[in-house]
Amino acid sequence: MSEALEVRAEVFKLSRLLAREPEQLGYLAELPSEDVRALREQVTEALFAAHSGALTRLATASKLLPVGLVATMAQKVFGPVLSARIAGLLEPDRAVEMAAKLPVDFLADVAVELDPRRASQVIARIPPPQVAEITRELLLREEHVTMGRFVGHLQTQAVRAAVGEMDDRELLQVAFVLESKDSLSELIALLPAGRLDGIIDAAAGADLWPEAFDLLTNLSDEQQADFAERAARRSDAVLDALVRCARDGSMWDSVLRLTQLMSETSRRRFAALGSIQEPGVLEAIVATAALHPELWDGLLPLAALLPGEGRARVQDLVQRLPGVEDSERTPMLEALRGL
Amino acid sequence: MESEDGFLALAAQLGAEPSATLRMLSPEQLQDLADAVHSARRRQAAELATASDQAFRYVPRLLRGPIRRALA
Repeated sequence: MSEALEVRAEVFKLSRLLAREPEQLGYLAELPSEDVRALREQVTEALFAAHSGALTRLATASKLLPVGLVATMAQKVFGPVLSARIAGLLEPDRAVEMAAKLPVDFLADVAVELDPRRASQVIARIPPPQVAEITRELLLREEHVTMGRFVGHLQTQAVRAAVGEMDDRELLQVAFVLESKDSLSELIALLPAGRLDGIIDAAAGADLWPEAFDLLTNLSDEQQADFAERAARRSDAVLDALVRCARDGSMWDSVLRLTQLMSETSRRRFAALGSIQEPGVLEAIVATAALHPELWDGLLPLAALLPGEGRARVQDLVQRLPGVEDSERTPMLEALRGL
Repeated sequence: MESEDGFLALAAQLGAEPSATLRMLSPEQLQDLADAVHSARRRQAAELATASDQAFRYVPRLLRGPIRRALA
């Protein structure tokens, strides 16, 4: 996720914790996302610590009551915020038994307020069908950030159940705000093969390429190569949308990395796209390659597959690039002339 | 207001020192954050007190004594 979006997601989560509108905390947008996240964790800790004694005693006292009654009290008296604070203090099996007696809309309310790290053992025990039900409710509310906080705490079958409820666009949106990006590769591995095609189409259809590139960077090498090949096999409309999104959002580094992952056949198809020849596109590609040493070598295989006119333009652009050492420019020019 | 005052007010509410980069914020912004944390704590305390009282209405009479002792 880009730093700006990361900060926005963190400010959103903190504002919820403090019962403020995100705009009221807009002044935090200039801070590094990791510091806003640290602040959120400190606030979570402070709110818990402020009444940890009382919350623990409530959890202990609840053991004296039947589970059904505690569930009723959670819903009618304690409400989602306090229930979320207490959830992690209950015996996990009893908490799960209680959750089974609560309506899904209340569980979704609790999920929004819950600190998953404190209730990890409870979350991990929720049966997959109930996880699917809660996911459906959270999707209706567009609570992508909440879902993103939970994924890392769910068991594999529960993740599969949750993902099964999401359409491709929703999956991309949740993946983007996932708190534990390390689990993305595992999450994608759970999907049926065709799902990745749908995700790529969703990125094109809903202008979610930044989300798609964020997903790509968190996949294994093998999954990245599969993603690149599948992307290259999508319709021209999908690939043109990718090029235009890269042009408008300055994402050429991501696109160049994607082309490096493609087979020659796929790269040839990409290079033949009409949108690559549009004004400013090759200029941006060459300028981006010059800024990223790891992408500079990738320029040549792409240029080699451009139509003749495109190759000549790349050559001309490299010739005129400012700030490039001759030791880098000359071999590239020679290689371009030799194509 | 001095920036350090706001930073210290926030640290007091958090019970821990915030990241040093928060010193980039103005004194008013730091104080606003401290106030927001303070309000959240007060709100939570009020909700907890109300809920604890109301909860007894649901507890069977026979169990009220043991529950009160567990909460003491």
